[in-house]
Amino acid sequence: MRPETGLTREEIAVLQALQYDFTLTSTPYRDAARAAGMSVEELLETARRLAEVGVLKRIGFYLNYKSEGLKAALIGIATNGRHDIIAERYKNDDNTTHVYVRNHPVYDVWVVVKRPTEQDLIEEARLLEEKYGFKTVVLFGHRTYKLSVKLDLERGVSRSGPYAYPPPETPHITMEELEIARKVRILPLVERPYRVVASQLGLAEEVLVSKVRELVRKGVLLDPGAVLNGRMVGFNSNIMVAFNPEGLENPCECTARSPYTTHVVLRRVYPEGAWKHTCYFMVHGVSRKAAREAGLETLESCGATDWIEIESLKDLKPGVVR
Amino acid sequence: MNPILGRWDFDRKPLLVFWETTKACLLVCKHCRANAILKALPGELTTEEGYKLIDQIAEFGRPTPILVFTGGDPLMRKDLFDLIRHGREVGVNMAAAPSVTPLLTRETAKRLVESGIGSVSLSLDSPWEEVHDDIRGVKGTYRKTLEAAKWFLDLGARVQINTTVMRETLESLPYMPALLHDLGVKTWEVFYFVPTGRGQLGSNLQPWEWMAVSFFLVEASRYGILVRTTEGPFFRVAACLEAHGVSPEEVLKGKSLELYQHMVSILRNTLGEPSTKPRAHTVGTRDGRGIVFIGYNGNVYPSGFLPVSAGNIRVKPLKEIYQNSRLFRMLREGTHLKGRCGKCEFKHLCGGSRARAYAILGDPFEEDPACAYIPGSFREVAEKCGLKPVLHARK
Repeated sequence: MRPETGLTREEIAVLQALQYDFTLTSTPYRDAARAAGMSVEELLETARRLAEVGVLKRIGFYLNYKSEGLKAALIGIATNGRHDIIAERYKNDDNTTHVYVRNHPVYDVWVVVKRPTEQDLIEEARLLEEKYGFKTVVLFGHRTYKLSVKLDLERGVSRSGPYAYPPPETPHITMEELEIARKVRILPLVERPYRVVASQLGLAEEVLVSKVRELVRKGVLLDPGAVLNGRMVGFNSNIMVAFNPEGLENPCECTARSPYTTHVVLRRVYPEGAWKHTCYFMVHGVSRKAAREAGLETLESCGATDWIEIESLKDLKPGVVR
Repeated sequence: MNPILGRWDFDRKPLLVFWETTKACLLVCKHCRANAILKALPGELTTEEGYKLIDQIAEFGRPTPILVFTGGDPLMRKDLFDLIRHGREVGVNMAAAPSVTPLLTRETAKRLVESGIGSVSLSLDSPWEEVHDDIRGVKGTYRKTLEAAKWFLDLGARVQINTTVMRETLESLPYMPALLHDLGVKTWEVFYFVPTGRGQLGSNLQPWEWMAVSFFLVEASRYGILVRTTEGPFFRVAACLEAHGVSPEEVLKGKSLELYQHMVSILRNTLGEPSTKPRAHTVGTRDGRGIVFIGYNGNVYPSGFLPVSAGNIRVKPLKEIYQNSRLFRMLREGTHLKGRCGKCEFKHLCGGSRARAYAILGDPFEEDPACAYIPGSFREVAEKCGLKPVLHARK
């Protein structure tokens, strides 16, 4: 089902191409334009307009936080409705990328926090408990099996792109590579985007493009292409599905193979035993029904029988570039 | 109340054995805990294994636990009547929970009753046709259910109506007793929604709503209907409080009290003034205590809503799993409860839904997040209730 967005056919074609046909070449926009059946000028003009109104959040890459030497955790917080405290606490914290009110009856706010060590993450949870009296559960990101946040505007449900699977090992990189990776997170909307970034870095365009390809291969840069504002393109439902992987064969790999999942992460729990549903994935849809169907199909195909679907109700940190 | 139930030793044998004979079902219910599908899954217990299971239930001794053939839809099992025949031969008490689909005809109903099924439960989640049919996923299910209830009643079977209280059915809940009254059904099993399987958090109610529902059900039981709950043990707390003179107005506050009053006013409008004392009996069963659930593949669970297996009957006898597995023992002991449930003066009477604690918090011993009761509020009343087999016998 196509979402109700008010977007024109041309705009949809542009957004689809920038998500799914974004090549790792020096001319990614030209290649996307070819896929969308238009000129590169038309594509860029439309993309700039969509970026201006906020539909298009950015074009570029996710930077693997592990490359920056960080550890991440999803922390469930039982605020008992006092969401504002959490919103305020994390509003200026660059290392807290997701702050959502969700419909879990106990843990009503969920945040993704990144810190230098796991001990720092435990300390963060302890602070929340001590300072505000909020019970927490810390779900460390043990292994990311998939990251590809793409929204299929034709089908109305999330569908991952071609570069979705980070390697299992934490990539080791040099400071120079980290600088490059940080620079290409957001690419300019010009015909030769890498040429602009390369000149800022004092590199030749082709050298930069080749480095970017290498960083994608290593898993430092993830999920190339456009990142859309889900709500603005009619994707009203985000569901976090967490399931018990016990007794299943390669459960996270299996859910990662589903076209609908955008994030698949195996989690470790603190305090130990406080949470049984340790394999986690996200699905997005134009409606709750669409997202749920995608989630159920994924669970069924992987044989999961014990799961919980936690729906996002409110983004307490909207507009953040992840 | 049957005096035998008062002496039932839950450490030794369950009262109810639910057997998920198959995952197959022609309905696609929104809240299906089994995530039932159209075709049977591989690994279902065979007919021979079914006979063995029935023999093991008989070995608990007389009176035997009641074996409830459930699913999926037990009518999807081609050998159902062979299994029932075997059950009758070895003297096991039996009941069935068939789905209302084209497989359930007047002839099938007759055959079930004649073959030894004395009790049946039929699901009716709402007295409103469109709500029920929408939940069940098949139009016409509502009308067919009413028809099926009449068949079974005419055949002399005991009919129990099962209703799941969830977001989609809450509004119509207070109209249910009038429908039961019109049908002539005397037993109402009310399932407090647990987010598991296809039924998820979007259908969940808030603790203040559950509290209002519990007191409403106590009131509904004053209309000649025996009310029991599944995964709603705090209904027993409401029944206990009322039985000892604590009014809903003393317990419920604000919007919870308003919801209760609204539901009771509908009850009065549809059925008039109540005619009997509350019929809110309990023998104090809860997941793993008096209740055991056998999955389609022989896995043994404390209830159908608590997907933590304590063993498999293909490997170990049911009796051994029920009596000696660590999970079942801990669930029965009641001393392992955490959070508010662990501190609550009503824990031996109620103990919270272990299935809901697991579904929401991942730990079957955690507090039940659906309960709004603050431990310590009515300690002196709790002492009076204890775990009496008949809550209202002394009123």
